[in-house]
Amino acid sequence: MSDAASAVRWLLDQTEPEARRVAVQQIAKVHGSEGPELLLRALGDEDWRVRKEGTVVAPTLDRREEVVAALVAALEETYNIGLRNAAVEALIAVGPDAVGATIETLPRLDSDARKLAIEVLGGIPDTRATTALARALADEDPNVRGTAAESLGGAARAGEESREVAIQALIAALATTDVFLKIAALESLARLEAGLPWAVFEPFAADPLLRRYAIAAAAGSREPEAVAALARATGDPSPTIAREALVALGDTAFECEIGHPLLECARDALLDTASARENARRAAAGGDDTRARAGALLALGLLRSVDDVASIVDALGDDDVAERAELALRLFGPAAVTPLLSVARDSKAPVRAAALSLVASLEGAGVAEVRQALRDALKADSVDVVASGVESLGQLGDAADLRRVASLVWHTDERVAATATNAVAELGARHVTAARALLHESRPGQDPVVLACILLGAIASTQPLLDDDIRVLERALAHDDPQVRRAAIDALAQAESDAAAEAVTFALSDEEHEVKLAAVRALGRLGRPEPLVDLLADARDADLAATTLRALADASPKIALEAARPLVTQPDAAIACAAVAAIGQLQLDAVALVPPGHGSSVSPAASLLPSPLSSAREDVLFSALGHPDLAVVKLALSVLGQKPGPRALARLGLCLDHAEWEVRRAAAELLGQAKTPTEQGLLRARFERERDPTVREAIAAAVSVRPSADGARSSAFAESMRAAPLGAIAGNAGSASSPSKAGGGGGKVGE
Amino acid sequence: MRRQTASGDGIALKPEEFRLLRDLFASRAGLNFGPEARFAIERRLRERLLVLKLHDFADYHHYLRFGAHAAEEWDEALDLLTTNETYFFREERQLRGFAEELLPMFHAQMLARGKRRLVIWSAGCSTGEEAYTIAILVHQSGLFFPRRSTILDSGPSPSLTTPSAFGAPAESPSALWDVRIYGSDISRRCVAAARRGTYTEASFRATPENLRRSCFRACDGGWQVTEPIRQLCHFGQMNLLDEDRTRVFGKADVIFCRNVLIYFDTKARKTAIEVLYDRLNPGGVLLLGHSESLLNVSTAFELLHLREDLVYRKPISAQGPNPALDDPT
Repeated sequence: MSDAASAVRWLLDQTEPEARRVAVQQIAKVHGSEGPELLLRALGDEDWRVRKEGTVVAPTLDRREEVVAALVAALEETYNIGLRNAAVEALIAVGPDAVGATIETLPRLDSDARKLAIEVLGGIPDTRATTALARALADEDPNVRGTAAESLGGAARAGEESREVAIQALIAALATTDVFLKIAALESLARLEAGLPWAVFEPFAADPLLRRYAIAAAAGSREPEAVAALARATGDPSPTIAREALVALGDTAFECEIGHPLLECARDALLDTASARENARRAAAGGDDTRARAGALLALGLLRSVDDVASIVDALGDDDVAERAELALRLFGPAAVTPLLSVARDSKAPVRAAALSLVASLEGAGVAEVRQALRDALKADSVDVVASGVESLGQLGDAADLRRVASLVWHTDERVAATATNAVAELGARHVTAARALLHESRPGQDPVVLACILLGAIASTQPLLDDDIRVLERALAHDDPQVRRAAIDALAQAESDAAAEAVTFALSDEEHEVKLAAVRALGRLGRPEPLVDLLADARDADLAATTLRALADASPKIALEAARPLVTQPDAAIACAAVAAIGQLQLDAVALVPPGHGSSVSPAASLLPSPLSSAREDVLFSALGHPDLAVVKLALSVLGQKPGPRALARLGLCLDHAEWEVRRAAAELLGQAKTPTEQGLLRARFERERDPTVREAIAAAVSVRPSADGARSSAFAESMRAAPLGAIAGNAGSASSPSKAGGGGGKVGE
Repeated sequence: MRRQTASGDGIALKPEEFRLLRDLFASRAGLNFGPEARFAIERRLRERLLVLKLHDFADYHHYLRFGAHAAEEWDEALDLLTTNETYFFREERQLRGFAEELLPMFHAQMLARGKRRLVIWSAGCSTGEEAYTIAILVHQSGLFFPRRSTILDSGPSPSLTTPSAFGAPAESPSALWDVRIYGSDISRRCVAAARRGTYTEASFRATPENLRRSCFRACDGGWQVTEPIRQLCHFGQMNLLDEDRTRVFGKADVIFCRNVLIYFDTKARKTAIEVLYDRLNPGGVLLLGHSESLLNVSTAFELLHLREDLVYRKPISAQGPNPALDDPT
């Protein structure tokens, strides 16, 4: 017996549970055949904390085959229930390596143990497990069949292929006479969002026991018959079924564009159903069931009764259902305007503000009536209402409204002032003559430069600025309020003149960070790369570097790539991330190499970078893969993985042997999207060697996921890297990754 | 135990800490502090230790190098170390030479070349007094009638901002000049103060009363520079040693860099002079403080003798970088 095993054994004999729990942690240090035996002893402990520790340790042990065999054998335990349940949990923790042995042992197990084995298979995302679960739907034991059906509801975790297998098996199971199996199958189909034809569920809708589940499962269907059935079910005498139908109908309506034929189909069915309106009104009145209320509001929107406008408007003030309430009112169309404004006038400020915004955006509404309501709102006491009125007047107002809104630019409430600024910009762009007239008006006690910047920005968006205009904006650049300087820069950015560019270039030295960033962006828009390159020469500020690189990309992608090249290997991970992200943004299907506004003799075809990434860009990203900070490496991987060419795929393959598990997992997910035989071979080969359960899971999913037509099911890693703001990525840069996540060998790649 | 009062009085700058900070400021900002500056640095930076809850100046040195907000702290430190009291119309004799000899000279030269653009850089402008002084002198010279927008100045009462108020015929825009006075300083706080253009009595110790009345107006915080003068001035934050960043305003005809080089060590001084030389148009002039010279620093400039002063001129034939500067390394 080894010393480590002796020590663990001695500790496991202690009466104190905490001592035994600590002992379990040490089992990972026991090498040899004693490990599995000690693990089973831990899993059979009388204290749940000790057993729990055992399930955590299980996937880290050597001799995995022996461990799995021991755990599978424990499923047959009939005396120690704690051991049996812990074995299930431990096998799930071991993951795909436990699947084969569990399937093999199924025929030898009694019904209780088979049920447990099915639970194991349901807990591991693996296509082999899904197939075994599908077979188990025909098991002789009803409990095993029911558990298999329930487990299949989670098959999508193992990829599209597993999901399809599960759906087909569950549909077949609906033919059974076993009612509980049918219920489980219907529930799992709903969880899988199978989107099946209504004909599949229709036979069960008449069955009092199955009706509820059939209605829920039909929620994903976009067939008129299914939607009509849902609408009719909202009037069901059973509150449970009516509630289920309201929720499902609401979800369906929420996903439809206004004017979609399904909405009219639902409306017709609702009108034909006696209790539908009554049930919807009851559910819409409030209560704790937010989902039912949300569905009911949309049902009332479909029914379009003016009597219901007040209750729907009231729901605008409830954040949980406001979005559905807004859609419900939109379903009314222009007919909602008059009652809506009437109700909103006496409502609380937030409701009135929301109602005004809504009315202003209703297609077909009478402009005169809406404008008057918005102008009235400017005199309200509530800043919420004023801001809402100003915002909407920006979209709907006429030339006369420009002066009204302009007077609010200096409002003491920041939100009103900001909204007024935007509204002036919108109105000014539409009514240039009125904007120019306003420029020459004096307002005692108010700084004219503020309004001038906004108006000139608006004018510049529609026509070239005059020299006189540029001088006003230059004057504004000397203003002591940074907001004014920013507004001036934004206006100058549209001027496309040397004088404007000169003024904006000097603003790069502004002492306020925000103003400096505005100047950087403006130079990008003006197509002036030179000062931006100077700015990157000694980059110390990641935020500034990121903005500068993005602006450079606007001005000249080619120069941006050259400027980013030295930055991706900078020790400061935040700056390196900024550079990699900038290169990622260059990765378009076709990127113009010529700065905007600069004439060129290059042909349109020759002036575009090819996709996938050009070699130069790939080389820069490859060098980022050698960065010591994982955040940089992962970001570079995600960029490379977006549209990888052969060289990038080869480099991703090398990353499967990276020392860090996070990098290996990311590489696996990205390679999984390629779906070529070479990459699949690389993944399968790595799967054999990979010990880290997270990475193994990623590889398993990567080799099983079928690419969907619209690419909607892309990897979680790719999604997370795309969704994460640069600041978040840079903020994590330098943080330690999981140090104990040891796995395959190999050093850093890309060096 | 170390005594520490609310103002951090008890924290002393030890000799070895002084050396660390001195070397750091020299390498990052080119600032040169002799042994005599130790107590001034201690006095000026002590409040930062209190704010940052640091125990000693060694911790502060570490914070400046590796702290999470080191960049912001550099702004604070440079504000405290480089902010020096200044005032309008400082070094009157040199300003007289500028107004009475240099401005007419540039006016004539530019007219001869058909160029109506005058760019002046006040490098190390502190809180803006020098830049505004230059603007007042340009204004008072009556030679350069700046182009201005009429958009915001067409109210009922004519102001100084209209060309006619400068004495130029409003109907002849081609006679107007593009005048730009750029002020720069390494201190963020100084640049913000310069932008505000509001000054207390101490800044007016050498200002003629008639100019104070015509170019300033009383306000809450003291006296504010009037709009026509402010419009000529543009302020920005920059390190004189950062050549890339100083390119943001093209080339200048006149550079005032007075009492700035005295803070630099030899290497930084050479770098700064190289930057100034590069930023000057051929024929442009550099004005240093009365105690400063380019002796042993640069032979690229030629001396221009004014009636009461000496200034440095970039040869009209000069092209490209300063050929007579030694490699600072």
